[in-house]
Amino acid sequence: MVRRAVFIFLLVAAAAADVVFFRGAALVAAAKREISAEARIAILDKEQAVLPVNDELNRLLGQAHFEAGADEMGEAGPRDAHFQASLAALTRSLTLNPLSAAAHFDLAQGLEYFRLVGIPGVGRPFEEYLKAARLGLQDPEIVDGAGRFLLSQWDSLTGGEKRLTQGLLRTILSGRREDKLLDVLNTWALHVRDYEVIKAVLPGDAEVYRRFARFLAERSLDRSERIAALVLAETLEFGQARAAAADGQSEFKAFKLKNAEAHFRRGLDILRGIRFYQALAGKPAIDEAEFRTLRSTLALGIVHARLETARVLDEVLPDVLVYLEEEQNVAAVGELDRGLRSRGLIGDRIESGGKDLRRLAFEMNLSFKQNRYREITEAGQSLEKGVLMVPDAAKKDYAAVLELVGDAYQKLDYLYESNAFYQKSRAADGGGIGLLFKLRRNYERLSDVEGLRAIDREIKSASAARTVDWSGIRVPKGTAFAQTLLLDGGEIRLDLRLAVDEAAPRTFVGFYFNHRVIWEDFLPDGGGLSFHLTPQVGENKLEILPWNGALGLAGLDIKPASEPSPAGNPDTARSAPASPSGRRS
Amino acid sequence: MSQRQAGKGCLSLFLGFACVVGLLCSAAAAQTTARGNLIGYIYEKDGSTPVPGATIKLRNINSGAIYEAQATDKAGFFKIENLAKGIYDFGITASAGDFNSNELVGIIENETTKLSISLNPYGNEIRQSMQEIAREQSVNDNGARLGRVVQFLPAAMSMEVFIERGLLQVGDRIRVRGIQTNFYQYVTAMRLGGADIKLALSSQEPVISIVRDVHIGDGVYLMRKNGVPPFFLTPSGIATEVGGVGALAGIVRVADKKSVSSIK
Repeated sequence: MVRRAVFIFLLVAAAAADVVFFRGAALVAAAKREISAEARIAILDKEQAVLPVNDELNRLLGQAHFEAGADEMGEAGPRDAHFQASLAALTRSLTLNPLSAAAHFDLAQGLEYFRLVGIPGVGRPFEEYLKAARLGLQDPEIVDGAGRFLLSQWDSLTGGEKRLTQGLLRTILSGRREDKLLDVLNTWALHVRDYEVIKAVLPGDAEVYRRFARFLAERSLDRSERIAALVLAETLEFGQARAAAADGQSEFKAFKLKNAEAHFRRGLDILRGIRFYQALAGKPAIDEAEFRTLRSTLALGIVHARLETARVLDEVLPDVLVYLEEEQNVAAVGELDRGLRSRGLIGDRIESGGKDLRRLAFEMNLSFKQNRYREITEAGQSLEKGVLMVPDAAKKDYAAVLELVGDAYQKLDYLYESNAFYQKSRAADGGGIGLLFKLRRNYERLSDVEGLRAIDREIKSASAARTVDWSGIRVPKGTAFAQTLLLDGGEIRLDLRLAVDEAAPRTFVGFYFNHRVIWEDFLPDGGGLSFHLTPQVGENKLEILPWNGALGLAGLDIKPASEPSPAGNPDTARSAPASPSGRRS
Repeated sequence: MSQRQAGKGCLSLFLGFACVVGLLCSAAAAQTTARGNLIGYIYEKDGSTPVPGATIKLRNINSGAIYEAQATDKAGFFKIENLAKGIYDFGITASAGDFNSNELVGIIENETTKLSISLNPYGNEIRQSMQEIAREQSVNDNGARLGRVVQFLPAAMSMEVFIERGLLQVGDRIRVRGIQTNFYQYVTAMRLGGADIKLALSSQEPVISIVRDVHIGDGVYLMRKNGVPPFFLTPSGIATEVGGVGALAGIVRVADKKSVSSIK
């Protein structure tokens, strides 16, 4: 009898507990659907008065009172009443469930307000953030909010708290989200500025290091840390390019040609973004020879992938030309040559019929790279014998053909013939400064003084103006200004005149020559800079990129390297950067 | 008066004086300890280009006392010392115009609060509308008319509002008023073309969640922007905190059990 009574009592108690639990859950759900804080308070307060044992209900009640109080921020009476009710509800919630990270986090945020309006008995938010962080490592909002709060208190943290904070920051940044990275960097820059702290939490990712470096430049922070970050980024990118080459090779072996091509192109694109910041750091990170080899490997990979499906030469020609620009190895070019022939994309001998001059120029280029000069001169002779009508659109290709014949004659030491073809090339399409230098080399070897004088005059007039006027040009922050310079390949000194704005913070500027960084720092007083450079023959590209503010330009002077720099101009760079491919044309 | 009496008188006078001095000192000390500082940087919209010559103005939300810093230096740095403990709203005056902030900043005794701010100018159209609304608000306690209800969606407890002018943002406090309608609420969520939006411009028709029934044709009035009264009546833009944890921001509603209230 007693046992039955106990059983019935337990059954009733369990049913009552169920009812209370489900009623509480239903009310919590109903409260969440309400928009206004007052409506939520009305629902939750009722239940709280009946059975105050639901921690989640109390947490939501604390939130609702907090929101209601914040809505009345300017009215001290109602605001403080709501804040006190919020504090009481959140404290109750934590008494019921001390392990609720969300309740600790809510209380921490509330305390930031409560202590400011003078609610009595209020602790510091710090401890609550710390508890929330320790308990809520799985919750991204808690990790983000608590992590950044703790970072802002860095100096007052103990060793263990610092380790916890760094763990939270690593978690925040592991998502690779740029907005989160910027939030962390901004908090760090404002509150900490200790580089070891931030470097310890940045994920080892090239993109993150680049963003960090950009942040440092935009905020005019430490130059050496920026350069170190960029060297790290470029080293990682070089590794990515290597991995892309390996991935491309394995996809190629599996005959997944599209995938292989995509990998090779990605690798090549990565290499194009590398500006060799290691030159400014003074310690080599990427081996130049390995860089060049990887570049030609990737370019060749693209050619191979394309060749498998190409039916005519035109389908692969642009990629083959990119590869030929990179490749200096005769045997490697010979292998490509054989590949093209075996697929019937080119003939056994150079076709000098004159129908397709672009193709002819390509075939001659291919032969030239393999030192088959006789073949080229023979093709040039047969071209001369025939009658050729060159349309305007093909003049550039025709001039290239003639120049290649001239090059072949030059290699064979037939200097008069070489000059004759060079002159024909000039007549066909004007010719660049490079062609003038080839002519000059021939005149030199022929000891033709008159010819030399004449060609030197032409070189002088064809070279870039010795002075470039930039007055009125203002380069916006974060934008690159590019200037093409036609140069003869001899060592020069560039004297730059830049307009320094005394009212603005000192401008942090990067200078790039033929895609490689030559100088990057805060502009010196006066805004004058001099660079000693060894350019390529022909086109050279100078880029100026102000990172932390707009930059006014005044002008540029090109001087012989032997002349001393203008007084006051720091001799900023005595480097001789090779062209990106390391090739001097 | 005997010498002894005179001595007693002198002693009590001295003690009285000492007490007064002591009280004054402790009051002064209390006042000194209940004060804090604010330092920070003001940047352009990109969050990194310093704005020199800008002035931050703070208003204590309880006392209404206004404080003003000296103009920012070349690095955009500002500093205000000796501020009373409390919560402040702030605005920035720069060469590009005045900028209200949607955020609040707390000053804690014996602490230096740090804040980085970026200035986000309005587009021309918004700027004009804001100025119109601010002008109307300054003379009309009932708020400035923003638009009208064009549809009531009782199942979703929401209304479609045609914005006649200005702009409506999540966080704005509005009043809906008609023959049978009269209530206030915050704009907690807005949708346009099925997507959540934070800001609706004139001639758009966002769907806004509501707390009570409305009727077609009811007027919608803007009471105050984004939770706090604007610092400047005719702002040129919004001043927002850059990253950081310096400001006490407005409130975003909690979505589900797992998430927490994003007060920050």
